[in-house]
Amino acid sequence: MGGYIVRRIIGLLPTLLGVSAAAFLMIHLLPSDPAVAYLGEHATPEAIARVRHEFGLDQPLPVQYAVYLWNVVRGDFGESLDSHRPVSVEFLPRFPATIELTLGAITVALVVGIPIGLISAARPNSILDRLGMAFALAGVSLPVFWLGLMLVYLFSVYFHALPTAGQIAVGLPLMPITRIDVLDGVLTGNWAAVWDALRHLILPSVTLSTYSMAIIARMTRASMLDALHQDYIRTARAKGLAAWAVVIGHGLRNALLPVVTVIGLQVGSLLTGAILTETIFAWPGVGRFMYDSILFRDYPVVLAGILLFSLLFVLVNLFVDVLYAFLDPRIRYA
Amino acid sequence: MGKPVAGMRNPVAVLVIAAMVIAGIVVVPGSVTGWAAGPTTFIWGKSGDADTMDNPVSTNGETSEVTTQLFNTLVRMTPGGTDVEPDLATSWSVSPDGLTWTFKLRRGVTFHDGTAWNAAAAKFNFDRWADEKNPYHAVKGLDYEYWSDFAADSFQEARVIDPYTLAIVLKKPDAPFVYNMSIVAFDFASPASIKQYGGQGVSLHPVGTGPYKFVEWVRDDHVTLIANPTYFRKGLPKTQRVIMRVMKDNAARFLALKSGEIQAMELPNPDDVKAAMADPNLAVTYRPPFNVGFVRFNMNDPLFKDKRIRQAMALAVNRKPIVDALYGGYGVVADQHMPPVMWGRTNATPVPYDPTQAKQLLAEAGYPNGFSFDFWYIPVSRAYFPNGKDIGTAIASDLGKVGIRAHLQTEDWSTYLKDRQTNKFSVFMIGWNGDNGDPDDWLGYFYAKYDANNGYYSYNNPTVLDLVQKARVETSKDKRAQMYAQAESIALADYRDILIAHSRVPLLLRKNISGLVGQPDGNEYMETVVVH
Repeated sequence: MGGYIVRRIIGLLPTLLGVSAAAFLMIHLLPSDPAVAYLGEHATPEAIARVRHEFGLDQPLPVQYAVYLWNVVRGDFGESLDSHRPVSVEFLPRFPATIELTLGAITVALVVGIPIGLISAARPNSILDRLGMAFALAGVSLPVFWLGLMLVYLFSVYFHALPTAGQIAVGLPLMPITRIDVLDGVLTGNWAAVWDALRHLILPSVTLSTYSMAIIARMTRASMLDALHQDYIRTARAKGLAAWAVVIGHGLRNALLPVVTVIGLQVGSLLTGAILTETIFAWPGVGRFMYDSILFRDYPVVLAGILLFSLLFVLVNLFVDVLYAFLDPRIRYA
Repeated sequence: MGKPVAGMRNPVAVLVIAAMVIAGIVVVPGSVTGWAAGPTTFIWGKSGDADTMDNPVSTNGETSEVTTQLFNTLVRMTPGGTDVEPDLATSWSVSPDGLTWTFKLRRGVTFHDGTAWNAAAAKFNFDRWADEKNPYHAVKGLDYEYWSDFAADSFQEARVIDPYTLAIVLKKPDAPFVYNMSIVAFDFASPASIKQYGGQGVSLHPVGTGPYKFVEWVRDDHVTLIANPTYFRKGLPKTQRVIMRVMKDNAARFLALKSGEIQAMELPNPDDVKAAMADPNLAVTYRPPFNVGFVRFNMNDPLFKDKRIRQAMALAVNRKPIVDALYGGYGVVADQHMPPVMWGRTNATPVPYDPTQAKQLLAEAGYPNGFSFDFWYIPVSRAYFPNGKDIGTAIASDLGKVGIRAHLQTEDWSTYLKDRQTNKFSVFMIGWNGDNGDPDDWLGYFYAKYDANNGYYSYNNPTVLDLVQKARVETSKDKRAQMYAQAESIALADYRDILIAHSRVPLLLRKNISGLVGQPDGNEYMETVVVH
């Protein structure tokens, strides 16, 4: 297993190299000039030339890429063309917020999706099954943007129950340790902050989770239906085990294997796809920042973001593969 | 399909009950924590984040919205207007040759760090802006764009005459100078803070003389300001704390306003303005029109060198219905480039809608069956063109009725801004937001020069260009006004552009807010805001 993990990690390098080259080329093929985006409507030809020279944009593309790669190897991802701060400084404070939102969303997706799938499989073709699958269909069909705004209107504007935006109330004292506010509140014993951070997390998590929840529910149902028809389930029943022990102890554990794969893919999607949710809820995460950077043609930020998300995606899927081996003793990696 | 599994009824009930318990615990409105909106705190919803707190090196309106509360300028725009009034200078005069402006400075003013505002502090800032070799001038990646555009050509030096008298010596007369000094980019920071933090560091450590002091800036989230107890305008600010929250989505920002999480906001969607008018808890106020949207001809193109063609196209566009339908109810048809709030306008009447005469002119010009051309519309939303595509389509539709076939084109905004200064565009939509209340900011830009390779500057009328240049150095305001009016009259008679509209810009606020006056330049003075 250890050798397998090491080989997968080594395999990251050519993957990331290919991703960086493709991303670098695609960004520079965009029909606009970041110098003009930076200078705005007051851009004069002289100012544009100055900014292009300052940021090395007047060099040939291969030279720009080579310089970029050399800097990345040394841990320097360049400076944001917008803020002129190091890219790493721009990403680091924002990344925990995206992690927090992703964890919140996947939690909701699992807590809601797996039971729906379980119940649907346990009672196929019943009203519960049909309701569950209708719920799942809605989850994949509803536009995230619309859903987010509707939830805000209902719970924030109409019921005044939850906040509309942000990660935590402005001015609430909280020592930043991990910058995952719920966790920081727990670590510092600041329960008011934990409470407030959770309240801020609910609506964006629910919004972001709906698609993943639907996929997980459907996959769980399909997988469970298959598992519940296996001989070992019949054997377990014949041995007189309680129904819940049969379904959950025997059926669910085996049915989860394909679901785990889906969860891994969904985590990757959640990390990279939170742009709309972060925009609606003014969530200070990486997704919204990446979107703004793309519009601004902030090449260093966009490239760093693509590399970071590629790395995360690969690592998450590696974790899923390793988890597979623990869940299924038959699986062994050479 | 399999049979239902016996004994699965209870888990369902457990799940439902658990969900209700969780919902009850979490959704119950908890006690409000943090600096929520209240009598001492005014929360403003911004559409974007600032890029720095050092306004002289920024052209970003999101920055100036914040720094307007932290700093002062020598003179400032009057609340709700475009004229200038004393700010850190109480009076000013210009020498007969127009080369020396003398400012009497306000006494008894201190920066937020306790250091004194005086002529030496003013000179320190001017030297920083003007001199590239100044040790505090360089700011990586940023530049003094406003200084370059409005002062660099004429500025020679700032002289301390006495502790409260500052002389600005110019290389050449510059009549708009005092209006230019009202631009928020020319605000004054504490020299002690600049020395302490350096030219680069003051972007995160703003120390001004303004009604509010800087507390914190959490990027992409909020800026917090707190009242300056020694502010020189006695009785101000009215509110102890201002929080500017960044909420980029217009709809989400409006929902935050409806819920009371913010108390005022800018840049609402047009439909939300109507919703706000119908909401008993909300009110609508406006920034006066300080912009203009127009269609510009590239007169380097032989087709559009012909005045008959330009006139025909101007007569073919029925502007009132377009403005009424596509500006959310807050546009006015433009009869000239400068909006009504400006001085130096000419007596003009809007170009009438006359498709019959348009066809006649086309026939006279040799195009009885019309012609085809590429018509470029802006891809972004601006106050002067809230929806470029819709407005462009409407204009194209009107032109089509007289046989002029417009092929709608657009491209990325930053590319658009670049290409308008080439000959790529033959006819294009463009606009302008004013920087200050001097006509030179408007006509001086529109008629700055002639360039055979630049569609934006393709109007080759030496009389107009000369009038605008002369008005820039004339010291008499009345004479300047006449010159600008004359230049504009000539350009209008030439049908240099098809003027479309000026637009008010709505601001939405909760009914318990008073004292918020919409500023033409978009930088409201929050010192007068009261939260009831």
